[in-house]
Amino acid sequence: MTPTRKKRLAVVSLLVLGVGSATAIALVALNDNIRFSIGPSEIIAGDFPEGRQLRLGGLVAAGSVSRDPSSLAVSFQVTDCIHEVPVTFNGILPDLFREGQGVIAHGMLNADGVFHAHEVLARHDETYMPPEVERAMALAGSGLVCGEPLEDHLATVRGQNR
Amino acid sequence: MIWKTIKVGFHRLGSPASFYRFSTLVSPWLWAGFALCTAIGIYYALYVVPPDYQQSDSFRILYVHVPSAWQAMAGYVVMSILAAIALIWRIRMTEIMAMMCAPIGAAFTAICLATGSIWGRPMWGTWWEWDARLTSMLVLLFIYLGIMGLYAAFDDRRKGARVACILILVGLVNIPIIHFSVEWWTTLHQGKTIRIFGESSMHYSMMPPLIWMTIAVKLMFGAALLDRSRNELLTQDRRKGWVQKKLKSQGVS
Amino acid sequence: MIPEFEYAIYVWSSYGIFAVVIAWQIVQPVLYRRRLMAELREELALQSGDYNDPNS
Repeated sequence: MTPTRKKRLAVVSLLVLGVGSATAIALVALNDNIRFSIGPSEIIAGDFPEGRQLRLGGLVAAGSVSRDPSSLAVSFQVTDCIHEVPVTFNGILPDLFREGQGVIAHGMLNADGVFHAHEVLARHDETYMPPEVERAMALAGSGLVCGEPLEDHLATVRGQNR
Repeated sequence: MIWKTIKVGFHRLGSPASFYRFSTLVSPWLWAGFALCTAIGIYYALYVVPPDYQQSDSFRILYVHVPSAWQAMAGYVVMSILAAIALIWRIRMTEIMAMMCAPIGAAFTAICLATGSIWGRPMWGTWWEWDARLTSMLVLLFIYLGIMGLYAAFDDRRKGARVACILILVGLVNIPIIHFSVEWWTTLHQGKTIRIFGESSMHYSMMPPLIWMTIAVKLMFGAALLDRSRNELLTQDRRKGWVQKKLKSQGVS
Repeated sequence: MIPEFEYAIYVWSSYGIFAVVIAWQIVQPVLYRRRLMAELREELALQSGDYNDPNS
């Protein structure tokens, strides 16, 4: 390599490294704002900005869903398997909404500790399998139940995938 | 010995006339491979694989969404390598090829965003949310468009290419952000399914169309890149001797 | 022949978008090349003097 090219190589490497580290610093500083949602434990601990719209993420607790038969109103508990937060919502739920499913509720926390959502989104996990396989595994919904550690769950799914 | 052959081949490709011949020869084969792989992939995706246990048939969108997303990112890495070579060694052919990666990469990014949005509507319950994965992918589209715009804004093509190459390397930082966004932050988008190291969370019966479509879009990227670079080369060199000679000798095809 | 899907409209519109964008990527360079070649052919004819002006 000629000296000019060596110099250009150095400049190019510095450019990539410089932009990379500047971005890394910015992202670490902004870390809390990039989070899409916060969990029930953080709500319980009061570790969230008050009086602001929040996104609460977690699983729909098994057996917690109760629907008002005369309207679209629904209430359920969102859990991270440690703490639960009650949620109320009035509107159309996504097709994937069911007990044990990951959801993200967008709304505000009331003084009484009830989360009033104006929008509920469903999350799905990264596993894909045919219905027969899922039935064979005899797991409901997303397959993840409280008490079953996530790693065990994933190991079961991957075991079935083999 | 092998190293030398590669080096000589590389230098040959750097010459416009040889690149022109090479791309004319190779690109039809890449297109044919693309057509074949896509036909097999789409057939498997729509007719063979079973519906997903949770998402039913909507998960079939994955077979166009995921390969496009991978190609949008892989295309960016290829473009960055070409840009670095172009900046350091000032090889004109790599400058042209780096510039021609941008429209193809932008097309794949657009497919990824559009199909992802269509997939999100029935499954998540929303067309769009500003989570880290979706936002960083949108930024990728803007970077691609920025590169195209910057290149087009210069009358001097080579100067334009050099400035755009710097933007390419600046934008490279976005690629790891897209890749790791679902691990670093909580997102609406789910985590990664396919792992190169370790086990994937996808049932083996659902894998074949993903593999076929991934190969297909890679071949398509290569073919489109050769075609576009050949066009750009011809435009830049229209007054040069080798083009005139070619035109006179074989008529114009 | 055409499979019936749940969420059919979402699936088909996704594959439609894929097809349209890829088709555009194929067609665009071909059109560009055709236009360029026509220009070059004209220039060559002008140089060698056997250019027939279609407007005359």
